[in-house]
This record gives sequence, structure tokens and C-alpha cells, in this order.
Amino acid sequence: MSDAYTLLRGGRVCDPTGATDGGDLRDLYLKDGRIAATPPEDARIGEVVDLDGRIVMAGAIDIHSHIGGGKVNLARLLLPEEHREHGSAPDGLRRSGSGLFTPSSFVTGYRYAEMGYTAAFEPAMLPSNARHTHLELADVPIIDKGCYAVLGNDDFLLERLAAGATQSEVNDYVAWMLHATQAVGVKVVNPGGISAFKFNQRRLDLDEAHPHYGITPRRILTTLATALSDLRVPHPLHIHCNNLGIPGNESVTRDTIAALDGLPAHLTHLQFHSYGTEGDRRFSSAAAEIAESVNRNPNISVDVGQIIFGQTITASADIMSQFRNSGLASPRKWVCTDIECDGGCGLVPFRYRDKAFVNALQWAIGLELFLLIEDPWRVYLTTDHPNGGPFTSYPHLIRLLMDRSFRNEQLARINPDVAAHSRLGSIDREYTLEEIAIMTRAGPARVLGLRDRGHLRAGAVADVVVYDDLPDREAMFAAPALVFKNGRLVARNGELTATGWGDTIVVRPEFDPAIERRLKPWFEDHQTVRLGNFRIADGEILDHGRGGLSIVPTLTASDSCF
Amino acid sequence: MACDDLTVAHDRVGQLRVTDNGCARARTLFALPALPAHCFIRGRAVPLDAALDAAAALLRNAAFPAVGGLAADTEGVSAALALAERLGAVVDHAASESLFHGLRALQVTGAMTATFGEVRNRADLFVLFGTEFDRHAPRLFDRIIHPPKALFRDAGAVRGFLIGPGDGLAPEGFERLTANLIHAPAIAAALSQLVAGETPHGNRVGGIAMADLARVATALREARFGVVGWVAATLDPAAGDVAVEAFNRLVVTVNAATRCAGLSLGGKGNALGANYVCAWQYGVPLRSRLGAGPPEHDPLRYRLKSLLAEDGIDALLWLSALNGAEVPDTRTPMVVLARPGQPLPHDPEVLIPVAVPGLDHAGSIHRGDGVAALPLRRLRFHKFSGKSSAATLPTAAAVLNALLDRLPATPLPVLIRETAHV
Repeated sequence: MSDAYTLLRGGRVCDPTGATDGGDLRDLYLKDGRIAATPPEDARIGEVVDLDGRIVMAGAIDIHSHIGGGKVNLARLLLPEEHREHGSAPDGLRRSGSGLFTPSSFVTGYRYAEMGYTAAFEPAMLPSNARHTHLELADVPIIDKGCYAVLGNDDFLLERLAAGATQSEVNDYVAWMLHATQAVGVKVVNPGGISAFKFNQRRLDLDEAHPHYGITPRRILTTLATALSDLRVPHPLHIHCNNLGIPGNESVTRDTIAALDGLPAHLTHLQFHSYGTEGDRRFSSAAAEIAESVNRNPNISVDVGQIIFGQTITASADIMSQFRNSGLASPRKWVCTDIECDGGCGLVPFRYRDKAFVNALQWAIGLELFLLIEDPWRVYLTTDHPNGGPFTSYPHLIRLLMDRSFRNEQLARINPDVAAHSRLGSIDREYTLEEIAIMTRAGPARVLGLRDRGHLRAGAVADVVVYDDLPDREAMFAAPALVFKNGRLVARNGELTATGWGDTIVVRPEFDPAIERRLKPWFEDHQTVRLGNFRIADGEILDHGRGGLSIVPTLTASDSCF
Repeated sequence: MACDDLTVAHDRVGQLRVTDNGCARARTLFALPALPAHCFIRGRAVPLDAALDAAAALLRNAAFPAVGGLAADTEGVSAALALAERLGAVVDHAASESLFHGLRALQVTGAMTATFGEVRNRADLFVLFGTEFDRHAPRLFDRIIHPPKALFRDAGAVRGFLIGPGDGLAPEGFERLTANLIHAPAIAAALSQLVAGETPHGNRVGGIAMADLARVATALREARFGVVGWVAATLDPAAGDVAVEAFNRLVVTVNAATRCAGLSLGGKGNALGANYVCAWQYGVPLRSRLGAGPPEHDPLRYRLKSLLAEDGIDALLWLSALNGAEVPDTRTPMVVLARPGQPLPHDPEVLIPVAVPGLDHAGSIHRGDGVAALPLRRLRFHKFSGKSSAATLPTAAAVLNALLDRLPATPLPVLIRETAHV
């Protein structure tokens, strides 16, 4: 470690957590990979970087992006055409790679870093696929990463709930899984529905009994949300609601919020769950109703899952929905897999077309949600990469949010019926830079419990992004002037300058290890991997020299739920 | 399959032996002696550094090199791919023939599958295409088809059909329908029609009476969760992909009304894992050329077996740290990184012995159904100091990284390479 400070001089620091809104010029000191307090007069200053009034923000954090794991990798194998079209050669710095919406692991890290993102969270790690997921993410350079373990369709939990397990038994199981799979949160995907599909049921509503276990999605949801709250895990239950993509699903989304009854929860890719049935096409925007419900429930945070026009692939653990949508596959090939009494996986390539009414309305619904949800601390910027579009479209999305005239120009280009069916054109709101900093940095950091990321106060990890204040916000956010990861310059003007390895972020709540007395025979009788081999040791992540482990502290009594 | 329920015993001299749950393949692997092993240059014993220098010189001067075998753990494969990228080399696995039947079909039709654990607890019907199940999927029946317990079916009451050239007694609950597997696509297509309620032409397909196929179709329709499985290695080598496409379509057809899943069986030498590592690191499967520009995948042009047969490769690095990758008998100058005791057709230019993953060092490999990666642990330790044994050999990854360090950091300009191999 060097004893010298790096000085970033004269930037307009936009840190919504520190009462600096980007107005005043400030100096920022970096030392040993962290943001330092203003050093004493006689301190040794090494490098000095003059920022000349450029905008300074913390590194951006992607709270929901499918960047690695079995299903992402299968998506790569399914679409060689996508990788043929988007390839990059090795150079002195970069490994080669390919892919736009399912980029290879090295390319994923480079592109995020070049865009000023310094952390991304893989939201759908099936416990049975956890080792593969971590092996893959170990090859994503530069950025920090973490995973949410998918629970709520696993036969162990469903059987225990049906047998009347106590909340504390469920808590112990959830905590055990977080440890065993090296996860930072828990996601539930179509609660009960993925399992029901294995019993040949094709749809499951919130209060419909599971065909085998007799329990309802409502019960699964509330039990898991309670478990995370009881365990004091900072990131609350990450929920992919039932009935994704089905017109009229807004009611199940609102019922889900109501069912949580004040428990903290994060509703993900909300756009796909905000559909009404009005109009002659029986497909309409329910963004206003959903946004209203979010606005009224401060326990709820969301990410949007904005769609971006063009080719992508939808990749989801929700095999029930993916099988239902398989007829829409473009090109016409798709994958569905039932996995290990644990979950599922569905891959359906898809092209969002701006002239198609349904796709164009999906685009408008996403933007309506962004603009109608009032509190930027509770709505985060995602495309549910790659489901709505690739993460590389974030700068374009930021411009759509910050620039009303640009937004309305785009609205005028798409299927003309959408302007008539959507209130998007009448919404004046434009996001401010500070609000963008909240929804891409401070907000995700807070809802994930990352105390030393997402802000630029002394002690924070020195993930710092410097932007030219360009009127074209897309150009501004696509190619930041400077990106520092752990205090080290990794990109300049949107081009990588150095590479390295980020941390794997995990959470480790306390639990009663007696749960293993129940789990061990379950693994031996019904699983195909034994408990001791299922659990991922720290060394499996640490021993390759590609990044460390960073443990998020559990909440204490003095923390607010967010 | 990569089973994790084996019981392994040490004897007094540190030799390992599978005492419970192993198949013949596992017993052979674990019984490998911890042989003394040296590096060789054309049959002459040399120190490791000399072997590395010679290997690097051979590879550095190649215009169209290849990195093959790839029977190794995740780290070994990663290091081999990185070396290939530095060299601008073609990458392929020793057992990729079966792998590519499934992969090429996937890229045309997609797939609908289930993993071992799901099938074991749920499947009440198996329609299996192939032969020599004992050899290619030795523990299929005791672990998956007839497990001691199952969650959603009566573990004993499984029905099934074996479709293939075999004869002799079928396992309990199974019926044998004798057929030449060259006709597997036609048989599966007829089954799809029958499941969909259509009437295929003719009285027989691929040697099987239509009435018998109609019974299979009825069984698939009436099953709660049927499985259509195949041993990829026993399909028609020239058109295994066409067969797997037909299996995929059959599975999708059955799923219109009830549940059914495809299940590919067989595979060796962590072929599936090697392909996965290549896919996540480069976005492309094996049979790709790495490092000479963007990754370039071409399952026909970059099939290593064909390239070797037509002398299309001028230097080959072959990696077989695990079983399942026979060293090819080729005139192409070759650097072999192999576990001790690996049979060699002739002395290669350079031979460097490497430790065996899961015996001599920790690591991970992928299981045959692709979802679960399994940890490998170190089981053998060097007990007798002063005597060189496999337990002191370097890992494949360490050797490959040492080779990488001996090569120029920047790849040669693409144009020169392209000219060189035309």
C-alpha cells in the first residue's frame, strides 16, 4: 500500500447521501482503495487529477442483471449467431470475448467498468447451480458481484411448509442456504409456480393452492419475506411476482404488495407485472395504479426492467412463464429445464419491435413506472438484463428519463396507438442528475446493505466515476471521463485502461445449525449431491486469486429497515 | 455422470480404492497408482524447466496450433483456453463428438430437459435410445431410474422402453424394442406424430412395428412425467444431431398435454464442463479458434479430429489430467500434459506429467446433466519424502500458466496468422 494520497481536484461531487448535489467544487482524496478524509497539511499527495468542474459520482451499482450462471451460459450456447456478430479480439489489456446481450464473462466486466458501473448483482442463482455461478462470476473482472439465491419452489421448503414448519425453522433454512451458496440475498420467482409446472399446472394465482403441497404462493411469499426480516438480512425478499407477462397481472402485483402487509420487499422487473386488460386488444398499461401502490407503501422498493427495442433473449427461472411464451421465440428455438427439485430455467430469444403494439406499450409502461414512482430511493434503473435489453443500453435509458423532448421524439416513432393508450406523452418529469445518482448508486447500495459503496464519504470504497457534463446525457453516461475501482483508474473516456478483480459480496446471518439434522438426510435420500459437497467453501472463491469476499453486516436494532 | 457418493479407502501405502458406489470407470480412476513421473523430450528424461522451454518453443513457432484433450478440472481448462488464446489456437475436447450432437441440435431446435435430481424423484416413464448403457451411463439405473427413495412416484414402479440394437433381458419394468439407431430420427418423428394424434405412414419404422410405437406414444401421453433419454455416443456418428433434434421435438410435443423432459446420457473427461468454461469466457463453444481476432466458432472447420487427419495443425498441445482423453496417434508435433500412466501412441516431442484433479489437488468439474458443478478434493498426499510421486506433480493449470509466461504477451497480428495457414 502506498502512503500517498490521490487527489481528485475540483470536481462537482454529486453524492445524494452527503448533501452535495453537484453544485459546488470539491476535492476528493483516495488512499489505499478508499475515500479518505481531508488529509493533514503535511500529508504526501501522489497523483493529482484536475477535474475542472466535471461531475463526480460513486461507482454505479446494478441491482438486477443476469450476468452469469447456468442459464446465462446456456443462452450463449443457444445463440452462436449473437456471438459471431459481436466479437472482440484480445489486446495487451483485454481478453477476447463476444456477445452483446449475453456477453462473455471478461467482456461483461470490461463493459460495466467502461460505463462507470463497479458492482452488479446476479439475481437468479439456483442453489443447485451456485458453484457453477460463482465459477463463472470469478471470471468477470473489475466489478464487485453478488448473487441472490432463488428459493420458494424448492421441494424441501415447500414440503416443510406443508408439514407445518415453524417460522424459525424456515429462518434457519434460509440462513443456511445463504451461507451454503455464498449469496447476498434471496429471490423468489413465481412463488410455487415453478414447482407447480412440474406437476403439469400451467398457471398459479396468489391464493391458489399448489397442486401437490396444498400451500399458496401467498404463504410462500410472506414466510420468506418474514424470514429475511427476522434474520436482519439487509436486502429484503427480492420478488418476481406470479403471472409475469400476462395481461391483467397488475392485480396479482398489487395483491402481492398488500399481502406483504408492511414487510420490507423488493419487487423486481415491475414493468413485466404492470399490465391491464383494457382496450380492444385487452392489453393496457396499469403503470399508474402500480406506481400509486408503490408510492403508498414505503416498505416496497422496485426495479423496472425497462425494455429496449431490438434483439435479446429472455432468461428466467420462471419456466412456467417461459414455456407459455415459447411460441413467441425469435429466432424459433428455446430452452426449458426442470432443475434438481430446486427450480427451473427458461430461455426464449425475443425481438422487441417498436412498431408492434404490445412491445411499444411495454416500453411506455416501463417509462411510466420510472416517472410516476415518486421516490428515487425506491426505484432502480434496470432492464432486467438481458430480458428487457442489454445493460449497455443504460445510458440511452438515462437520457429517456432526463430529457423529456428526447423521450417524446422516441414516443412519436413507435406504434402510434401507444401514444393514445399511454399517458407517457403528458408526463413532464425529467430526472435530475442527483436523482440518477440515487437510482443507480445510493439507492441500490442502501437496499442491499452496502454501507461502504454507493457514496463518496470518507471510508467508502474508492469506486469513483467522473463525467463530462454533456447536454446529451446518453453520450455522457456511455463514456465517463474517468472510472476508478478501488482507487485505481480502470477506464478513461469509456475505454478500459487497467483490469483487476472485484469482490464477491455475501451476507451471513446467524442461525441454529441444528437445521442440518433435517437437511442431511434430505440431501442423501432425494438430492443427487450430498450436503457436504453442496456447500461452497470460502476457499473455492478465494483460492484462485481473483478477488476477495466482502461480508455485508446484518442490520442492527438501530438501522431502519432501509 | 460424476457421482459424489463414493466411498474411497486408503491402504497403507497411500493407494486409493473405491469400496462403495463406484462404477468401473471410477474404480479405474481412483486406483491409478501414484507413479513416479518425469518430463521427457522425445523420450529423454529432462527437468521440468527444460520441458517447459521446449514446449514453449514448439508452440511459439506454430502458425496454426491447437489445444486439445481438455480433460481437466475447471482451472485446468481455463488455463488451457488462456494459452490457446495467446497462441491463436483451435480448441476442442477429446470427447466432443457426443457433446456436439446435443449442441448442434440445441442451436437448431432448443431443448426441453431435466436434471438427474428432478428425474430421479419424478419420472414415471423412461424412453431410452441407445445401447451399452452399462458402459456409457453405468449408474443410470441404480441412481436415477431405481433409486431407493423418490419424492413424487413409487420408486419401484417405473416403466420404460429401450430402443436400440441391443438384445437380451431388459431391466425390470422395461421393454426392449430392437432398432438400428440410424433410424432414431424417423422413430422419434413417428412418435411425435402418434403423440399428436396423427397417423404416420407405413407399418414399421426403423424396424419397430407401428403398433409398438403406438404403445410408447400412449405411455408418454399417460405418464405424469416422462423422460426421453439417449446415449449420445451410440447415436449415428454422422447424424447424431439430427436424432437429438427429433428427440427435442418429441419432448416438446408431449409437453402440450403432460410433462416430459429430455435427458442426454454419457460424456467423459469433463467434456461438458470444458465446453461451459469456453462458453462463459469467450461466448462460444469448443471447436473455436481463440485469439486470432474475435473468438471464431465453426463446428465443422474446427473439429480437431478432422484437422489432425488432414494435417491442418502444425503444433498440438494435448491435455489429459483426467481419464477420458486418449492421446491421438498423429504425426503433428505434440506437447502432452498427462496424468502419470496415460497411454501414449508414441513419444511426443514434449511430455509433462501433471497431477490428477480430485486425487492430488482440489478443484471442480461439471456433472453430466450440466447444472451441478462438483467440488474435487485432494485425497492423496505425499508420504515418502525424497521419492517423486504424482502427489508432488504440478497441476495442469500451473504447467499451462508457466507455458503462458514463456510466450510473448501480445498475440501476433492476425493478418500474418491468416496468411500462414491458408
